[in-house]
Amino acid sequence: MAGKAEVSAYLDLREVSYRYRRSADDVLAITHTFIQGRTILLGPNGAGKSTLLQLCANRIRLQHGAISLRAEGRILQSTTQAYRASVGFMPQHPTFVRGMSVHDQLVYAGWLAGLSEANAHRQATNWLERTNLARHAGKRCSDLSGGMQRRLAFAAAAIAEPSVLLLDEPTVGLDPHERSTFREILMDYNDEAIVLISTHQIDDLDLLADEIAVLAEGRLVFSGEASAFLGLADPDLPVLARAERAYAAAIRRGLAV
Amino acid sequence: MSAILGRLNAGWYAILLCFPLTLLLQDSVQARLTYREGQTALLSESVFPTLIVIAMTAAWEGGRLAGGPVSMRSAVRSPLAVVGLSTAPGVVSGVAGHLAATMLSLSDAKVAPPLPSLRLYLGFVVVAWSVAVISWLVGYALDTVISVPLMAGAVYLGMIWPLFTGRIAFRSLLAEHSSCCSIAQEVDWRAVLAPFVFGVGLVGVGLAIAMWVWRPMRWSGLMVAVAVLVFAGGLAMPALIANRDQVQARDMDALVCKQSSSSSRLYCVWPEQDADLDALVREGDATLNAWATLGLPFAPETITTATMTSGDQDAVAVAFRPQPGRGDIAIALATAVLPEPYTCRDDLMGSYVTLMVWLALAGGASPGDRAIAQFAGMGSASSGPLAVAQARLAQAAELQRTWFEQEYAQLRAGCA
Repeated sequence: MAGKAEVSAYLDLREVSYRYRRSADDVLAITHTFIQGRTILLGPNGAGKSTLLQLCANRIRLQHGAISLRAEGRILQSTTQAYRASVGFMPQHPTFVRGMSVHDQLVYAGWLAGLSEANAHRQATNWLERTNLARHAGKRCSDLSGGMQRRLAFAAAAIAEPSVLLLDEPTVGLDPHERSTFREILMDYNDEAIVLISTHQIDDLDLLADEIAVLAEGRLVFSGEASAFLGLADPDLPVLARAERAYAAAIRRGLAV
Repeated sequence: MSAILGRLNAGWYAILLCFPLTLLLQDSVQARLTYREGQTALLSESVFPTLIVIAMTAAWEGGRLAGGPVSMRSAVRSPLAVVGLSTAPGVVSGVAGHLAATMLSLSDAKVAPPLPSLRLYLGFVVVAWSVAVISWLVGYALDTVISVPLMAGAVYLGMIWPLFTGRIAFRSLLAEHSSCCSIAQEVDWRAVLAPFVFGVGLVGVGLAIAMWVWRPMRWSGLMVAVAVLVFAGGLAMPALIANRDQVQARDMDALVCKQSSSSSRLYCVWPEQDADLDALVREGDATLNAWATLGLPFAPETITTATMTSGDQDAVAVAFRPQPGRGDIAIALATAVLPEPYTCRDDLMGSYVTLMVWLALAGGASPGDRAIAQFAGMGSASSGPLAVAQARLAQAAELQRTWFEQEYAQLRAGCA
């Protein structure tokens, strides 16, 4: 976990709001600064977690407010190419180019992320090793298991070693073994980076999270260190039950305000 | 990167490379011996199906990359780079395949160097690229099951639609540039410019909209407006050339002339035919001298490859292929002195062909000459007109002349 004094990377959201066409209300309205380290985004379905990640990733157009990244002494606005080069995104439902091999998929992702072709080849080989997919490099993506596809999608998001890594429900549908493997890969990622992970799984929060952010009805209702989040519930409860209670308490308290 | 993307669609590219060659084998691509743009004109028909395959390939590729792991909105590479790189293999394959078919065809026709008119061929590249870019964007936006047949149909309609075939498309520009007379014609610069402006405008609109959707910037709206204006300009170009021929007569001052060494007869050719002028003079004199020996009444003072105004008895216009032999020149002269065949009554066509072959043989052409076989449309030397002409040649000169005068008078009466 990054201590406050060491923080050197910020993802700053200022008065960011988003509203779907034909919708009367904003699905998201947030002003917050995410710092380096792993932040787990929690919240019920429809709370705005995916919208938040997609806005940060430029997948959907920012309608109001501003998003900027401060890293390595530079401040990058989200509309700039340098910002895009600093952000990697893993969607909730990863898709791949039909017919392309696993290795080529990563090279293509690296090239799109701004790497030179030679560098993309090197990084693809590197990330295939890191995600335990090296022996599947020549296979087509459709021949991979669900867990392998998730790892590949993670590698595609991380191949350019971005300062901001946005993961939208990366372990949904994975068995415990695959989840554990994925967690290890994630823990191995650059400590200096800002990693936002949206999830509904709270059984391994204490292992994974530096920070917890809870969204409800498009608003941030809790933000703090994992220990502070778990402190919302009875400390005598088992870990999983404690996290569940803390989650419920955060939402209840936030919506009551 | 193009290798990685190229591997994906290798099948399509193989089709694009081989398809024009297939057309060549089917005689859909033909190159007769002509000069300048005429060669490209004769190949224009094969552009049509090639463009359809390019469109289908690009739509397929766009649809495939739409499913990629990185969204176009969040990619660092610009949409222009992605679209350009992923459409390049298809366009290059299509153009390369077509160019290979063109060169093989021209080579087979002994045209040296076997290249089409590059100026007009560039029009093909521009239009092919615009078709590829638009198809790619449609493929990216729609499901492949819809986009591929949709773009095949759209290109087909675009090519057959009167607006395109009549005024814009280089296809019509080339096709109307008929092979026989292309040497005596200049392509109107507006007719060349129209497909260029149209193609570039189409690409501009497509890419501007793509940038607008994926990378909105301060000037995105202006970019789209400018692109639409350029495109509209491309569409307006045909209006400038409406009611005009897309070709015009060349300046006669460009002709290169040489006088016969044995008479006052003057031979004139276009600069591109300069290398064949000596052959024209030599074989022309020999043919006309042979006809004179038989007492035939043809002794033009000027023989030229420029299109002549009708009614000029002392000057005749001839058309022949590059590197002409005796047969080519004899056939060219016979064509020039006899009435136009398409004005003859149907029942006189047999007489016309027989007389033509007899004139060529009488002028010194060999019965086995390819020009004679091609002209008469005969599959073998034993076919009718050739056999009749050869039988006449075996007769006494007086009999031959009498027969000729009867046949010629009949033709002149029956061919207006």
